[in-house]
Amino acid sequence: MTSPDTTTPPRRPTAGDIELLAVAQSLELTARDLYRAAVSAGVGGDHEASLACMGAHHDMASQSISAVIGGEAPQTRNDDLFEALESEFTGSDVALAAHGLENSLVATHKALLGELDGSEGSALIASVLIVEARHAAALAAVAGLSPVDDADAFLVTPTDAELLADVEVPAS
Amino acid sequence: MNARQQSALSRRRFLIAGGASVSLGALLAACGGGESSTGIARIGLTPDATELPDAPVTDVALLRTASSLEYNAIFAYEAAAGLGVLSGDALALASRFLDDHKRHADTIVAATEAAGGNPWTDPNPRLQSIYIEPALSLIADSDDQAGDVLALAYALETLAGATYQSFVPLFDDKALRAAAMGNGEEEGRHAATLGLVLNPTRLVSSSGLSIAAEYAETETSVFYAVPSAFGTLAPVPVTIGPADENGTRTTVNLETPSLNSLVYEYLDGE
Repeated sequence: MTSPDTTTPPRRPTAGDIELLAVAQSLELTARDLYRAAVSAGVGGDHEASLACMGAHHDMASQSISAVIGGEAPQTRNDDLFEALESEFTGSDVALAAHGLENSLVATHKALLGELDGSEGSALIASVLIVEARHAAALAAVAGLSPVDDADAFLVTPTDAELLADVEVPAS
Repeated sequence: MNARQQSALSRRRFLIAGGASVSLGALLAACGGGESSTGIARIGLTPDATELPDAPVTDVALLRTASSLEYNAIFAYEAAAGLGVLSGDALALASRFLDDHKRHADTIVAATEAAGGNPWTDPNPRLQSIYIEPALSLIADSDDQAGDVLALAYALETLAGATYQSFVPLFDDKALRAAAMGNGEEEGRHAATLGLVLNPTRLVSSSGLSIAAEYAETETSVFYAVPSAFGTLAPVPVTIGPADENGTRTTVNLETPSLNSLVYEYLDGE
């Protein structure tokens, strides 16, 4: 049996990858700052420590993306997105707001995986994506939802989750 | 003995050893048989070498491995259901997860066919024999079967998510990366949901994070909804089964499929 003709993907990010990963880094910094705002506002209740940890996860994701794309990393958050969500993150519905943000990040990262050429960048985004999916499930619990009665809130990325970058959703 | 005498002795010993080598070589040549005068002398006969199979890590091999893991999960959940030890929310979740794995298996089978491959619709043979069956055997003898089933499910879901994650940089077809993580992120959500059922007081581990001391844990747990900042490919430990005479239970380390666990296309011919 012979292997089909394939083109081995490059290891390092291509020029196009760098643009996409720069967007991803900016989104991770935005998420970090939103969680920091929530913790500063003291709206996390019994789960304030978990919110602080989730913010730290986004910070680490942004640093890892920066390590892959080097000097092309923007190192700045998306101010428009931050301002659009800040009031929700500092209010009583922080868990639902964060749940929505994490679902959007998961949907965006999945779309990025369909666009990225380099294996280093795609491996990193996959490792970030899977944690943000777990964030979403945890935040559903923080929001007081039931894993049985509201199972989809825990287990599924909504098909209408807003994409946070200008990328096409690959056909599944 | 002076240096000259020592040198002469060394030469004599060398000549003796050389003569013995020549004699042994002649003996070996004689044992080699006289059928071929041009072959290299050898002792006995060697069997013909078996040609190794061609086993490239193709997209199809990765997809077949992914579907094999889904069938491992289906087998495990059906076996756990057969034990009849889950009830209430845990039973409802296990039932939902079983349905999800069947759906995932269908999508991977379809993707395998679309990639021109022959789908794999059985559990991964190696993972079944080294992880699933031993784990289920331990649970059958456990004093806490329900707790062990949930612990095994948590570990298996984490492993399944990690497997899809590990395949992402290996796929040649970019579209398959996104499709794989569609399943992988749902396995991660399964694990997270089990984690928050098993450890509802602390959802996110602070291990390895640079955070304020007031948010750091003083005691750690095996179970978290979110155990780390990145999806880890490290072995997933699960402690299950009866305690031995020292009170120690068995810990099984589940690892993502390595090269000897992939479901290569050549396996269809065996």
